[in-house]
This record gives sequence, C-alpha cells and structure tokens, in this order.
Amino acid sequence: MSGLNASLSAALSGLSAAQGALEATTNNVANANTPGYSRQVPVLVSSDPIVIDPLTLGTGVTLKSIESIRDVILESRIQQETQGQGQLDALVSALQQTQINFTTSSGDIGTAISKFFNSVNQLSTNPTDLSLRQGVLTAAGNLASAFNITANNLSIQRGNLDQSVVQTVSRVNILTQQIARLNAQIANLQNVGETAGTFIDQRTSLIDQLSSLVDVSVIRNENSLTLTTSNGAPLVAGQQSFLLDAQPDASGVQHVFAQGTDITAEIASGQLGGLLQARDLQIPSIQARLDTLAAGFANAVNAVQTAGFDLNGNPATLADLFSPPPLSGVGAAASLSLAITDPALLAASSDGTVGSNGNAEVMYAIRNQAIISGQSPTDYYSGIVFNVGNVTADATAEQSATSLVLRQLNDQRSSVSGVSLDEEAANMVRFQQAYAASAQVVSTVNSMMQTVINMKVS
Amino acid sequence: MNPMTSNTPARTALASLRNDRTPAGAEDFRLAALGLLAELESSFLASQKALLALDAAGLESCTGEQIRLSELLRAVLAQKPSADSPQFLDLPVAARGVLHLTLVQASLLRRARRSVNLVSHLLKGPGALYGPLHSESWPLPECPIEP
Repeated sequence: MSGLNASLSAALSGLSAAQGALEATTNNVANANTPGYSRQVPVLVSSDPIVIDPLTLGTGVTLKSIESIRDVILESRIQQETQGQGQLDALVSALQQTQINFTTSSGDIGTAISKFFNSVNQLSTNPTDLSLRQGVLTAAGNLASAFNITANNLSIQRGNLDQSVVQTVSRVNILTQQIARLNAQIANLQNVGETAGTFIDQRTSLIDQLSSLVDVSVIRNENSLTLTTSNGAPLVAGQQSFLLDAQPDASGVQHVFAQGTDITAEIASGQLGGLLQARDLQIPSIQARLDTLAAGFANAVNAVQTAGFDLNGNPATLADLFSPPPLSGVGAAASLSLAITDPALLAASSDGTVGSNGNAEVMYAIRNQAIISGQSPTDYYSGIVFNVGNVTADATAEQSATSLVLRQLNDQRSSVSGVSLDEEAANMVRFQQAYAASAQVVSTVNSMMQTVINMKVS
Repeated sequence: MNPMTSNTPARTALASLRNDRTPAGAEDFRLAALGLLAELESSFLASQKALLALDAAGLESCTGEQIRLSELLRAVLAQKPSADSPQFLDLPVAARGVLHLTLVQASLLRRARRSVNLVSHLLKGPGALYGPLHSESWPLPECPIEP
C-alpha cells in the first residue's frame, strides 16, 4: 500500500506542477501586449527521492518558483539610453523654438540691419530730404524692435524652461515615491520566498520613466534597490524615497536641491538635464552674443552720429541715435531704443554745411567694418544664426542616433523578455498533456487500490 | 567595382556630363546631383543598420561606397552650370538630408568607438589604465589584441 500511496503522491505533484506551469503560461498570454511585461517561466525541480534500500525512488515534481526572464545589463543600457533621449528631446525642442527667432523673415535682426544701412545709404544721396531722414529713424526703430523682440522671446523661453524644471522635479518625486513603495512590496514578498515578478516589472517600467526625466544610477541590493543621481544624490534607498526640491535663487531662476545641496549644475541627462542645458547654457550664450551685437552696433552708430552735424548745422555731440547700451553690455538687446525722434537731428553732415553727406557715408561704411569681435555686424549676426543652426542640427542628429540605439535595445529586450504566443501555445499543449498524463496515473493507481481493497482473503 | 559601370540615372547623367564636350545641361546636372544624393542617403541608412548590428564588413562596404559616391558628387558639382539657377532649389534640401544622416552616422560611430575602448580595456586585464577614454580624439589608441 505504501508503494501505491507514493505513486499517487507523485502523480498529484505532477498535476499540481502542470497546473502551476499552465497558470504561468496563461499569465504570459494575457500579458502578451502589456508594455514592460517580462515573460514568466515555471521552474520545475524533481522532489527529493526516498531511499528504500537498495532502491532510490522518486517522489514527483515540485514547482519551485515562477521566474521572470529579464536581462539586467540590457535593462541598465536601456535606462542609460533613455536618459540620453530624455535630455536630447528636451534640448532639441528648446533649440527648435530658439531657432524660430533666427529664421529669415521681414522682421528678423539680419534683415533689419540691412534695411537700416540701406536707408542710411539713401539718405547720403539727399541728406536734406526729411522723408529720407524719417526713413532712417524708422529703420533704426525697427532694428531696435527686432533686437527687443528677439531678446524678449529668449527671456520668455527661459522662463518657460524654468517652469518646466519645477514640473519635472515634481514628476521625479512622484516616481521615486512609487518606486520606494514597490521596493517595500517586493521585499515583503521576497522575504517570505514568494516571487515578485509583476512588481519588479512595474518597478522597471517606473525606473525607465524616471530615467527619461533625470540621470539615474541603479544599485541593486539582495532584495531591494537604491537609486541615486549620477553624482550620488540619493533618490530612493530601499523603501524610502528622497525628494528633490526646486527653489528659486535671488534672480528667480529655479535650482534643484537634493537633501539641501544644490545639484543643478551636476544634472547632465534626462529631460531635466536637457532643460537645464537649454536654460543655463544654450540660451544665455545666444543672449550674450545678441547683447554684444546690439551694444557694439549701437556704440559704433552713436560714435559716428555724435561726430557729425545735424540738419541745422549744429554739432550732434549729445544726440545719440540709440540710447547708450549698458556698459557691461548685459541686457543691451532687450533695452535697445531710439534716443531721438526728430529727423532733423540726424547727423548726416560731416562739416556742418547743409547738404553735406560725409557723416552719412561714414555711418554707411560701418556695414562692412569689423566693429564686433573682429566681424562686421552682418557677419556677426550670421555667426549667431549659424551657431544656433549648427547646435540644433548636432542635437537633432544625436537624438536620431539615440532613438535608433534605443529601438534596437528595446527589440533585444523584447526578444529576451517578451511573450512569444507561438512558444506559449506550445507550452500550453505540453503542460496540458503533462496534466492529462498525471491524471491518468492517478486513475490507474486508484484502480490498483480498488483491486487491492477488493481482494478476498481466502 | 567601377561605380561608373552601374546603370543608375545619376551615373548615366554623370557619364553624359563627362562625355559631352559642350557645357553641361542644367537638367543633367540636377538629375546627376539628386541621384547621387539619393544614393548617398540609401548608403548611409544601410551603414547605420550595419553599425547597429555590429556588422563590420557591411559597414566597411558601405563606407567604401560612400567615398566613391562623394567623389562622384564632387565631380558633378564641379560642373555646375550657373551659380543661382532657381531650378536647383531642391538640391540643398536633399543635401541637408544627407548631412543629417552623416551626423547621425558620426554619433553612432562615436558610441561604437566607446564600446570598442571598453572592450579594449577589459581585454587588457589588470594592467589597464582606466583614465579618460580616447573616444573624443583621433587617433585611436593602439589595440592591445595581438593579431
């Protein structure tokens, strides 16, 4: 009888294992299209045998665990590329908005500079003509407006990026809190020997999302996981999350703090890195060059204007054409404005005689003079436009390359962790047959037991 | 392989440009340049795939093709009929597309070089110096793997 019971027990273990394996297959099929799901495989092990001398008899099968198939190194590379993609997406988006200010149009700075010099050239043909003088003032006013509008647009864009920094920090905090909660659930399950595949998948998905926002380093412990920024600021340690904080500095610009330390300059990738790079490096660099152009241009024109004589033959010593820019040059583009409104005050004459155009010609000559960092105003402006275009093209290419690599890595992850319905169908048949075979064994053993029970002792 | 032996519209146009002693027609020039730019674009897309698949032979083949195509393009551009003809407006658009692909290719190559450097360091064993990678400047460091 003990032999038959052992056989029954082994058959029952087969039934149980096949049922558990079928459940894993069912779950795989159900999650075939779930993003981030890692396929699960049943781990079947042979139960410990019993030794009845001289025989060693098997005792069936045990469903040891259901494991999720994942490649940790691949996941780490995906998170790394995701950080790069987040950074480049934010940077390219910001640069494309910046570039709009420098596309050729009727109101752009380059066109306004050309129109200003054309109006000065026309004035030199008839320096006493009031309508031509008014034309110069109008062109100068339009040029000042073009500088003001571009500088203002860049400031607004910086402000918008600043707001995005605050929003991104807030999203980072939500994700780190969710990851910390999942860490707790995973640890609780693993501590009692349960599998936590579904929660680990959810956590991996959240880390991917976090990676697109900020540069994250993942440190895996036995049952838990620690996240820090790449410079070591803690984000999640086990079941505890550490919040980032956005606080404005004296000038109102938002800085990112971790545990009271300003880490703004150290955030290099993720969306936050891209936003900060655009806000603190790219746009300020363009603003500085625009200020240099505005200040250099205004100073050069004012120097010629104040050296000449107005329509009435009076020296224009105190009649700047443009309001003098700040000495440091900072803010020159935003504050550039006309200093005179009376066209008669334009100093076209070089000697005070009515009809002299000497000073107008000198002013026109500025067009080709290297007055700003060794370049003419037009060339310097072209340099700014080229630089913006170049940086945008480089960032866009880098973004495309990152997308290609990321797509390839995701394909690799799918081939490792994704669900193949064909494979699952085959597994289903395999486990179904195993279940049926075990059931048949139970039936046979039952029949044998009945035979034994019904035996008559003669 | 002689690239001139392939019978593509671009090369046919290029051959006609070279064989014709009279000044090149504007349409011939445009067709030849656009065709070569299209071939360059296809070649760069193919080399991106090769690079991602770590197919060194494929990458080398594509690079050779790109060198030949760029030489042909240079030859075609040297015969540009006039400087500002409005019918060439589609050329800069096509050229920008190729330029973008070259930048993407450069970025992928930089990544591949970083990977090669990592493997190189790993193969060097305990004697490896883990200083800054040489990925940002030519020439490449000497490969430690003995042939």
